[in-house]
Parts: sequence; structure tokens; C-alpha cells
Amino acid sequence: MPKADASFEQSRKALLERVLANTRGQVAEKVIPFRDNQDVPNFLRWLDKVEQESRKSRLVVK
Amino acid sequence: MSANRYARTARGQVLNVICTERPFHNFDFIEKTVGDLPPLRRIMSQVRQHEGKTLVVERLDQPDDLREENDDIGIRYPGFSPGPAYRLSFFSKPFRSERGIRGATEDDFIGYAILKTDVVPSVVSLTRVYESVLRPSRHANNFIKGDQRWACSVAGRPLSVSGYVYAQQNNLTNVCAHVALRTAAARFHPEGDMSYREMNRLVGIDHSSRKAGGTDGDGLDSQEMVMILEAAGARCFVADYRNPITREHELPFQKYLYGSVESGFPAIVIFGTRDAQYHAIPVFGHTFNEDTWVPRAETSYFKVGEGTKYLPSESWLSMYIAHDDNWGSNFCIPRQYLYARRFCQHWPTEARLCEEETDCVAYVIGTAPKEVQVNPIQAEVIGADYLMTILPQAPAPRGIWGERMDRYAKLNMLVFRAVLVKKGEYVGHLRRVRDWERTPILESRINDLDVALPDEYFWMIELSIPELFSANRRKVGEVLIRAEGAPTSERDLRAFVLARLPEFFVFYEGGAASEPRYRFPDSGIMDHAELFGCEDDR
Repeated sequence: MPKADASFEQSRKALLERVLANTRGQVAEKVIPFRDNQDVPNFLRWLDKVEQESRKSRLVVK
Repeated sequence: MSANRYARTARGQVLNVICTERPFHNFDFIEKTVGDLPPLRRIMSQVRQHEGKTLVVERLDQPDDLREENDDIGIRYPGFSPGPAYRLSFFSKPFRSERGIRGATEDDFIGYAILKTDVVPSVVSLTRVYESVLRPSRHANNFIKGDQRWACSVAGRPLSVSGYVYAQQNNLTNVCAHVALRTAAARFHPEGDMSYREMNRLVGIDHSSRKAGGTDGDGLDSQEMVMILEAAGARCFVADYRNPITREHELPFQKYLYGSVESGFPAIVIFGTRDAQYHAIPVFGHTFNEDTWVPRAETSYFKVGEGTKYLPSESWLSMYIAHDDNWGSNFCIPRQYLYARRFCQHWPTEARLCEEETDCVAYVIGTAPKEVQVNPIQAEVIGADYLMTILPQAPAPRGIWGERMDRYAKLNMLVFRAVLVKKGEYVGHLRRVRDWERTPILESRINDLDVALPDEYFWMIELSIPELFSANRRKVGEVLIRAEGAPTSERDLRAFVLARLPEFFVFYEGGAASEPRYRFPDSGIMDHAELFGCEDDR
């Protein structure tokens, strides 16, 4: 049972350990690198800029 | 809490119990009672569609919320005198006397409307719908999530109705921004409703040095609207569609609306009007059209970049469900009817406005609970990135569904749907779903998740393909993204919780972001399962 103040990383690690213990290690393993494009990181950077700029706007609604 | 706190729960004096079956005329009743009041016509039209048979009219003796508003109007206009207030309650059960109310059940109660008259000599004499909640639409393809249960009282009998509260502005101490905020803020506020006085205090409107409505009123600006929602307990996500930066990528404003309402949280749309003003409406639901042609249209996919295109589940949405304080509650607004300002390719940095584009969407505010830091658009693209990465590289044998997903991915026709869930909701969902052979997910795997997952919000990005999604409302898997951690634009795996694909789960074991190592324990099911909220046992 994760402690209430356990970090997310600790919870994630505890979950995997629990799953592996219950499967007796019979679990496939593989390294999967991200795709070679930067679409998502670029998009997320731009989306953050949209949020920051939009929060500066003042539209008067009556 | 005192029953007199709200007009909807206060004791009233029953004036009339009216049969509203034919030949009763809604038009006659409204014209004789209040003259011309379009929102009441809309409300009573919905009651007619709900087969309303009885109307109970009660006079209210200044419950606290109405008294509070009257006090504020009195500051704004010292000559103000409070007018009468009435509560109209609608029932599908026929009865003809006050005694009949005692036999009415929750199922018979369609909803209510509070009518309030304000008279400011030489300024205004206005009867408006102070608030109303009606039972949601009877259509099976209308989806309204997160609707609250509103405690009410009719002739002293406690009843309740579910829905999103509708309210009309008085243009004295509140404007359309206030009433749109009230609909949205009620979803988050600890008291289940937010008063106009609380909103005004937050932004320094005292009706003396600063005013809200009337010809010399300031209204509310978009920053104040966000501040009020966040004070109520919401986390807001915003986009200004007048700003050219927002138009550098394709980002339909509908994604902000859908990202909120699909998880049961309202959004607000602010659009321009022909008199060069801005008007705000709350959006809280949508309709679903499984036969729509839109996902087949060449331009319907969402393009994150040249190598990342997919179909958002929002493509099957045909209408948004919204209130408009000018006209009434629970309207369906066609998805493509509202549009953001179009920028000319020849002047990409100038917001040139064509005269034909006066009613454009200018600003949108999406909402989620305050704990949520990742917005639904971020979640969807992060989830898509994980799934489009893992799917083609998962360990063999990948089975027929792995091959099918490869084909759909090459055609940019994978479907993604982002839904905000708590740990318990996700675990409960896994317990209920079955594959096409009706096989459940392994109980031991679900128990592991139940024990070890932290009790917080997650974005679940569901993966499907068009025919499976629209006709069967099923999916081939999902990825769980952490919602409460601060979002980053880097692929650092900090947000990744787990994924599930046909036959196996996917857990991150370690390794640098450049070479992350995953483990693939079996899930017990071989193909597709129901979407969240569409489980077969519902």
C-alpha cells in the first residue's frame, strides 16, 4: 500500500514491483525509444505560450 | 443550512395548481403573467417536451439569496423597490390541488424556474428568470455529465432535480458574464452554488465606486472571469482566438470545450456580437452522431505535426449543449455554427476582421478540478505520442489487432479520446469491461492497480478506430497520464503511468528518456473493450 506522501515515482515503481511479483517474472521486456519527430514537444511548447499569452488578455464581457 | 437560504428551497405560498395539459396554452400563461419573456417560453417548451402536466405557482417572501441581490441593487440604485418573486414548479404527474404534491415523486418533478421582478423608477422594470433547473433532455444521444442534484421545495415538500443551473442577468448588479460563471462555478464551489455578491466582491465591484451592469457598468473582463472560477475551485485553461499566436497551429476552440465537457466539467465561450460587444455562454454537454460524415472528411484529422495526425473523438460530436441567458436553457448549438476569426494568409500577423465575421468566438475558458495541472489538449497529444510510439514497437506476437492498428496509424485514422478519471473510476472501469468474447481483464492485475496506484486524477486517453468507436463505442486500449503533476514539454516519462493494449499492459521500468524500458504483463483480454462510460453493464 503506497504511503499517502509517497511520490508518484515511488507509487509507479511499487506498482510495477507488485505486478512483476504476481506474474512470477514471466513478463516481456523491451526498450522503446520515442519516434524521431519532435511534433509533440514542439506543440506543447507552443500550447504553453498560447495559455500564457491568453491569460494576459482582457476582454470585457457585459 | 437554512431552507430560506435559496429561493429554490424557501417556503412559498401556493397561489395556484394549474393543469398544463391541452387545452392549456403556454403562450397565454406567459403573456398574462409576465408579458414577453423568451427564456420562460424556452423553459416551458422543454416542460412540454417532458410531457409536463401540472404547474405549481408559489409566491416567495424574500429568501436570503433574493434579499442579498435586492440589497445590492439598492446600493446601485437607491430608488429601487423589490418586486414580487414567484417559483414555478413543473410536474409530469397530473394533480389538481396542493394535496396532490404530497403524492408526487422525484420522477414526477421536471424542474423549476424562479421569476423575479426588479423595479428601478425611470431606469427599468424587469421580470426575469432568476434561476431555473430542468431535467436533462430525453434524447439518448445527448450527453450531459457532471450535472448537480439541486435540492428544491414545492409547497413544503422536499424534492430535487439534476441539471446545470440556468440564470438570466439583471444588467444592474450582474451581466451575462456573471450568469455564465454561475452555471460553471456551481460545479466546483464548496457550497454547490456561487452568489453574484461573492463574485463581485472578488473583483472589487461594490455597486458604488465600481458597477457591474447598466450603461455605466464595467461588466467583467476575461481575467476576472478566470479568477472567479479559480476562486470557486476550478482550474481554468484558456485560449484567446483574437491573438495571432493562437492561430499559428491548428487548434480548434472546440477542443477546449470538448476537453472539459467530456469529463463532466463546464466551459465558457465568449464571442463577439454585432453591436461590438462580447457575450458569454456556458457549455456543459454535447450530442453524439455515430453516422456523421465529418471523420471521413479529408481535413478532419487533428495535426500536431507532420508526423502526428489522428482523429479526435470530438469529430463525432454534432452539437454542444449550452445555456444562453438571452434566450433560455439547454440549447443545442451546432458544432460548426460558431467559429473563430479567420486570419488571412496575406496578413498572418494582423487580426483583420471581415464585416461578415462579427460573431466570432474570441475566447474560451475550459475547466477542470483545481488539482488538475495538465489540460485536456496537452493530455491528448502526450497520450497520442506514447501510444503512437509503443503501438508499432510492442513485443511480438502483436496479433491481428496490432496489425490493424498499424494500418489505421498509417492512414492517420487512429481515434483518441481524453477523459479525466480518478483512480477508483479507472479501476472500476477495468472491472466492468469485457473483450468481444466477453472475457474480463485479469482480476489480479486490477487488484494490483487498486492497491498501488495513488489516489489522484489521471487523464485516460482512449485509443480506438473509427468504426469501432462510433458504432460499438469500444476501444483497443488506453494510456494513463498523470493529471496532477506539472506538465512539461519534454519526453521525460514523468507523466506516464501505464498503457493497456490488446493482450497486455505496459509499465515503464526505467532507463533514460532516450531509451525507456517497458514491461508487458498480460491483461487477459485479447481485443477491444467498452469505452469509459459506455460499459455494457450500464
